Amino acid sequence: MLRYVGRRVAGLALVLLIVLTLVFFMLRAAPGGPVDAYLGMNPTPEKRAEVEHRFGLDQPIWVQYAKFLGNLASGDLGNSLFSDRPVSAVIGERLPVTLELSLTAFLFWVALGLVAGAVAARRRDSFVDGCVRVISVVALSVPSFWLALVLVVVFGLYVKGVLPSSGWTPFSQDPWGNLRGVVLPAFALGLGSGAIIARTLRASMIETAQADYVSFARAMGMSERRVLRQITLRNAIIPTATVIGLMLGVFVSGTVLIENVFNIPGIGQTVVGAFTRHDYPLAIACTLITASVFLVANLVVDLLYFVLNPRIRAGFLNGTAR
Amino acid sequence: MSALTWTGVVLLVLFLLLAVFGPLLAGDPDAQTGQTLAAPGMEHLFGTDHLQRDLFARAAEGAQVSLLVAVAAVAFGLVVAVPAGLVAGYFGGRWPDDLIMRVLEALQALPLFVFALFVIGITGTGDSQLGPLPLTSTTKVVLLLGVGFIPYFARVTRSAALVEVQEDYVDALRVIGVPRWRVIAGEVLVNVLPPVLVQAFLWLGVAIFAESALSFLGLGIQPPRPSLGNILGDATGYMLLGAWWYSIIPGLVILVATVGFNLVGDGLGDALDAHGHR
Repeated sequence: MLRYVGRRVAGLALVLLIVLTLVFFMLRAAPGGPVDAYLGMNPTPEKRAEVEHRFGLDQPIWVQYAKFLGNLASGDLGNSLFSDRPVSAVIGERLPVTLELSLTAFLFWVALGLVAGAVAARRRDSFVDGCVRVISVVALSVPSFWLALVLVVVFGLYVKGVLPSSGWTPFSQDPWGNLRGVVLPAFALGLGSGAIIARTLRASMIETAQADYVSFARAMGMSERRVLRQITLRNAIIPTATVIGLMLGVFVSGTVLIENVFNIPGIGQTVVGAFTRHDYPLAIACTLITASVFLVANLVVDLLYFVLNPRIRAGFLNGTAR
Repeated sequence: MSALTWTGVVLLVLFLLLAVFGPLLAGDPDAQTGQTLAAPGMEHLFGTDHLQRDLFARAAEGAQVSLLVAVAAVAFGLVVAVPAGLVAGYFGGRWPDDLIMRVLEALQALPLFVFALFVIGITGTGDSQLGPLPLTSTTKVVLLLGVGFIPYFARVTRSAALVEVQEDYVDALRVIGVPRWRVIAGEVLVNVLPPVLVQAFLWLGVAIFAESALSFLGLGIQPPRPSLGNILGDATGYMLLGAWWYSIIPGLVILVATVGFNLVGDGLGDALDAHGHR
């Protein structure tokens, strides 16, 4: 088990390094470097050289890469080319905003999705089940950024003053205002994922309920409640856990869109600007954060299987699983 | 067919009518009507935008662009993924399979949308060259989405092929001397195709969403060419001036398309299960 975790963490670090290296070289190979973006149209050659020197861009690319790796190893991500502040400070300011938004959406929609899926599966073909099915298929098809636009229009134009529809209030400044501000973006961010969770749990609960071991447990006189809790749910939760893990990946892209619509100063809003302005250090740092969140989420899901599924656990312990 | 599938068919037909015939009926999407931000009415079904252009004409043209991009991206993904998945499935567990699967995993290291965002963010939205090939922003979106779809399509193909090669007829063909590549490209391919095509259908909806999301951020289809996403992107500046139709209606067109593709795709999948495939 420990060896498996170790191998996965090493693999994760390798993938991160490859992604960062690719981004490093692609950024520099791309037309229109930061100097153009920084100086605007037609800068004088002297001005150009000066800025290139200041950013360290006049050195050979291998020197730049070696420097980048060295700084990365010591945890120094450099300064943003535009604001001239340390990238770590920019990230440190913006990451908590994105995390608060994602975490709120995650907790709310996972809970709602699980409850809706379980209720629909237990009362299969009932009115409630029909509602869950119809609502979930529409919900998973709604483009999140459009839903966000609709919410901004509704709460900004027609139902004024109920919930803030734009901007961000830091928690330290006004806790209540902060919580009110996170409601609409979190709703838009997680709706589709909540729907997929409900659908997956419903489908796998219905499938497990038809398995022989469930009939067997019933025949042995196990109460319906215990069958549901100890057998159906436990088995049905495994595919759902996979979907919940994938949801974090959806959130990574979702926050980019949602933060732009609601004008929230998080990583998602930062990343678009950093790439389009060729702000190398900031773009690399955003890539690092985004890719890490996604890869770590996948790793956690894989490890969760051990907890959820005794068969996989046993397979690893006696060496039959690959 | 269930009521849900029927609903999907109706929605999909509506979207296809708009995308295929809308541009012919509605005329020039860039024509100025003389009315700035007019509300929807008999004259302008979807209203007009801030540049006095008819939004029905723009949404129809945008729907066509979005549909073409989605179909091209899915087709590109299939062309690469199906052969790869077939080979991986045929050699299940041996080195060609391992090699292909590792490459696919690397492709999936980043979420599709983030991957596209990075590449376009870095290379810019202008036209660029890929070797001798000129790359417009539209072809760039097609290629990026297509590459992003490869792992998903290849996995479905592989798992279907893994089941298929266990069938007796595969051994029988090999025994009577049919070359391996002909078994793969002939019999196995034909039997693997149905589940793959159902997946591809579902991903058309995803492609329309992904394209519109990229264009919304200004990283996809570039103006003056309209796409459902870049119309919405333009609309953000006028939302709070009361022009609700500008952002709501083009989004509804996307919704009709994605719900349609999802429902019909689900229906096709159910029909396939009922026939004992998979």
